Amino acid sequence: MITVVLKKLVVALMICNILVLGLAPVVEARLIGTHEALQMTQREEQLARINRIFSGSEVQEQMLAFGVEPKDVQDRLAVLTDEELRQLAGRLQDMPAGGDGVLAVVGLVFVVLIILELVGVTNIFTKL
Amino acid sequence: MICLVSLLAGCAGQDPVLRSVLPQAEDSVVELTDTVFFPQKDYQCGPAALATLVVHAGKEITPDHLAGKIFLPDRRGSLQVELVAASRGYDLIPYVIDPSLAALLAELRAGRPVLVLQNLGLAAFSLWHYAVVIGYNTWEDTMILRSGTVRRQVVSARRFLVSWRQSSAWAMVVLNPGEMPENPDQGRYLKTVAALEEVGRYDTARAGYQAALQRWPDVDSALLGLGNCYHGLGRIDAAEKAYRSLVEQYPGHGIGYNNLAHVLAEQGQYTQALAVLNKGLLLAEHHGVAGQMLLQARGEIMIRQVQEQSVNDSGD
Repeated sequence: MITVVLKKLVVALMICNILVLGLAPVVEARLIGTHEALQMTQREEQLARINRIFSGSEVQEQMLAFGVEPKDVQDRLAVLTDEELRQLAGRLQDMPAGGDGVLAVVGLVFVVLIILELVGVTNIFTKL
Repeated sequence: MICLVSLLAGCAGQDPVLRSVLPQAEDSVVELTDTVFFPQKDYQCGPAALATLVVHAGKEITPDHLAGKIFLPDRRGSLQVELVAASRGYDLIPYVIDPSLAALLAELRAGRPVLVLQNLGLAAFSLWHYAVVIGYNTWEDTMILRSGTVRRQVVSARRFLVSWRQSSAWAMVVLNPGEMPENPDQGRYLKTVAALEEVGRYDTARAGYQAALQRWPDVDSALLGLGNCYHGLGRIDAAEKAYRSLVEQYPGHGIGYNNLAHVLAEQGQYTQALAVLNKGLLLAEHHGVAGQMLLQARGEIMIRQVQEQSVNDSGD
């Protein structure tokens, strides 16, 4: 008997719940992560989840295009946050990629020397 | 040629760089001589530089371990974001320091080598390069680096600054869980730790939040994070405890009530969970998603309670 009353009560409460919620977009009930809590509004949160899916696959495609081994791609995506994935998506080409500055500098020096040579400041390559 | 020589001479006559940012009392010379050196292979200064930091933090790796994690072959380089992210994979806390010479020197004094991004080319013709700063000398006004294939590179502080400022003075250290950088920025440190939580490195993040709470006892997000990490680690009791102190200290913390109710429900304590949610709906600031989440959680927990009740009834 008590359980029947309880059930009716819960159903009534549920109806109230739904009425209060109205037609608001459904949000999954779950634990909220700290990063999310630090910068959350509803719209941002929903967009972020959509973006996670899109930017994840976009970054994956780009990594493959830039020569990353397929076996490494998932591990690399796994340590990136949603925000970082969004930063990376579409920008892998433009972001500074720290590489072999030293050898490149030798090349640059060479170019400068040739220019100096061509405009006649130096005479390293041409014997008078 | 004479012009060039006079230009160089002009530089040499300027005021010292390091003394201008360093208090007189501080050490004049610092060099972390025990920092390992990995001569970089083709274009792989990123893996070499990051491996230097990771080994210094006590992990046993080589740049070869990192190549697959941070090197982009067709760009012949590595991205800052991936250096930061890869450090998480070793359960280290990658902290990007303040973009200032003073902050860099402070890390060195604390015994931490600092990974920097330099532009060795021109603004219009960039040659990005990662190196590890391991020391400085105020008498000679120089910086000491592990860079590329040079084990001990000594460059004038002025020249170093020119190359470093072009990356907006980007520099990072890696911290062991629980370790704090010098003069940490609260917001940046918490975001760094929250990123570890987000990618599932719960134990490292837990230590990071605990260190944050020790330093800044009044930070609600660190307490929330602590609860979340315990939950991620499956330590439900400890998670419950953290969320309880969160809502006790911050009675308007909607997410605190939400998460507390969820861990209670996970333990089958539906009545208690619903009481927490009701209290939350009464006290929490209902802005954003939090208020709606509390209602949603209340609905779902009620359904679960009824479902379990029915199962029990039919079993009788």
